[in-house]
Amino acid sequence: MHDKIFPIGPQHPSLKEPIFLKLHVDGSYITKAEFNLGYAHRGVEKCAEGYLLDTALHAVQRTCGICSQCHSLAFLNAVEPMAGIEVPDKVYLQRLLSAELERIHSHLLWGGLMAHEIGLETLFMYYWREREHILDVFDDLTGNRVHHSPDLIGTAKRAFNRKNLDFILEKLDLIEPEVKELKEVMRSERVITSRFKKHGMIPRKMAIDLGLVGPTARGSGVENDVRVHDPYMAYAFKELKVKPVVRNECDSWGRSMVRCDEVFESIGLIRKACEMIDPKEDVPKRKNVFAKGTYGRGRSEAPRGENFHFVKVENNRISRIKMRTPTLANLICYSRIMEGEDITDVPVIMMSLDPCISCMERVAVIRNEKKEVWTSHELFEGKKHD
Amino acid sequence: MIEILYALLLIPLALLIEGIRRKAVARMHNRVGPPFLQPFYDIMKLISKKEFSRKNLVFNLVPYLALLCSLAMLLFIPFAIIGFDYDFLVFGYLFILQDTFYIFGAVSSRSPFAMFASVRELLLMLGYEITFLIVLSLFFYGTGAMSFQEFAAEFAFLKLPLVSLFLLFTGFVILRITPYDVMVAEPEISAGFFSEYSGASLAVLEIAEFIKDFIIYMLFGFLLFGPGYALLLSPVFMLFYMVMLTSSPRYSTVATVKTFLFLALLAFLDVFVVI
Repeated sequence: MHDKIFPIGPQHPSLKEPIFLKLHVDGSYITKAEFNLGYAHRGVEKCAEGYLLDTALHAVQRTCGICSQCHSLAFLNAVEPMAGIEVPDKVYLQRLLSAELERIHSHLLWGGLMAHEIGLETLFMYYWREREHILDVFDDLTGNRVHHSPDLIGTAKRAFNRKNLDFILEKLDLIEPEVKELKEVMRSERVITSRFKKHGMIPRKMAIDLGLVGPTARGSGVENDVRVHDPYMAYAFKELKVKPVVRNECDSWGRSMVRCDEVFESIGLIRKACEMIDPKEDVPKRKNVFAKGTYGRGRSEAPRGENFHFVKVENNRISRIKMRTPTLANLICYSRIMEGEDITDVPVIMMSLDPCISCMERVAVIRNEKKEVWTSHELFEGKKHD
Repeated sequence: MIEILYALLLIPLALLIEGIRRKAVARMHNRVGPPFLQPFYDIMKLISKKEFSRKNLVFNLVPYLALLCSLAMLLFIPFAIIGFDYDFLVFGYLFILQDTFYIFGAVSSRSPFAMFASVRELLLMLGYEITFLIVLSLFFYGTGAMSFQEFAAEFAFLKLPLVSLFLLFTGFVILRITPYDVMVAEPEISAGFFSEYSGASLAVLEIAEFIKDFIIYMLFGFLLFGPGYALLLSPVFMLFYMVMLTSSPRYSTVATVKTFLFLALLAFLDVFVVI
């Protein structure tokens, strides 16, 4: 088994979305890891091009199935100052509620997938049972369970009333003790810790050098959180200060624990926000939006890390939109951290970064069976220079 | 001839027990689970599917050889249909033979996943297969029986505690139960041995596996508690392994091999008890 190639993907039980990991192995140890993308390009950016701002929002909100709200927040951060719209506090708070609920939902989903990777199907089912409650909340708030899309530019589709807020709090009371118990299982089970600790090491320096974001960076001791460093919308209110969860273990264990703890941080934020919302206040009516500027950029903290949107507007229509999702920033370290690890640990390490492939895949140009590389300037312009 | 027919009658029972197991595991997972007859449906569906052939004699023959091994084992457990002196050695060899066939099939399929599964299985075989033979012999030698038909000792686990412990742990590997199921670890090596099999061959392999599982549940009752308890206690062993499956994550390969080497050494201590 000397220098064999062990393929993981594009279709593999440990992958939820297509990506190709080409592992060169010596025995069962990995000597070199390469990865290849381009199996799930969906053309979201192209979908949004040529549309009015509020129409493009529909495409943007459907970029990711898990963190759709965070994409719309980044887009709104880019567009709302451009259009010169003043947004009432209630709308900001509603957006925070949805975003934090989404973070809980995403981390619970991750917990289930992680449990599946280590062969503990029961924990998988229990994590996803708790996640169901959050989906019920989305259903109650917006009528949709996954692509809930509650946002409009400058306002929200509907105002949350007392009944909605009570339902949120009731569900949070329901899931908090359960999630605590699930976290305790993750934390104390000896077999799980033996699979997590000292595997997939990302030292602090590497995390900074590669520009990792989100829980992946926070698990390596880097305090990287857009909600803290560049507070946007309701995160800028002083009552809703976020305390980022940072751990210094630098391994799969640290990253996992960051996600487990962030659930409780989010629950706290939602409770505070629920108190601050005035249930009787209505949200502004939907208006036609006209962009005054030409460029806009916005950031938001998605469950996986920093989410960046660049929007270029011509004649009041979007001519170019670039989304940089957190997975794109985090995926770079795959080939580095896999080296020297056992095949057994690959699924755990892979899942500890929580990759979300299909919202990350942007462009794969293959002409005459050759891949083309575009420079940042060409991407900015949206066309290739010869 | 009549014995073989009798053994064939046990096949639907083995499939039904697998169906019950799936349902019970699903309830532990907080799922509804498949109907009890799902293994029958699966087999029927697989047989009707188009098969991917490798034009490799070993690869194509392995499922049928593995099934033959399983059927041959059914002659000894749960009811000793045939019997001769030292038949427990034949039984043990049949176990090893079946695993060896799997490895042959896996290597001839040239799938990297199957290759890794066979490497892991070979590693573990050092730990448990040979010791499994010795353990079987110890049970018979320690109780003075020469064959499955003669075996009449009750509560033998009290006399041979360490060997019994080893046997229970061997069950994890043979039944592919977490935490020691590294050779079928789905998120790592996909379907393991069976990665390249499809259609009727896969159906035959699955039947062979179901029968083997059924035999293991019976064997533990048979050896540890006595022949009279084999059928009675098999649900208890099934439940034990189901609880382990649903409550334990998977160890890494290295940890698994280490555990089995340690347990094998422990089991050898019981040799002195017997002698």
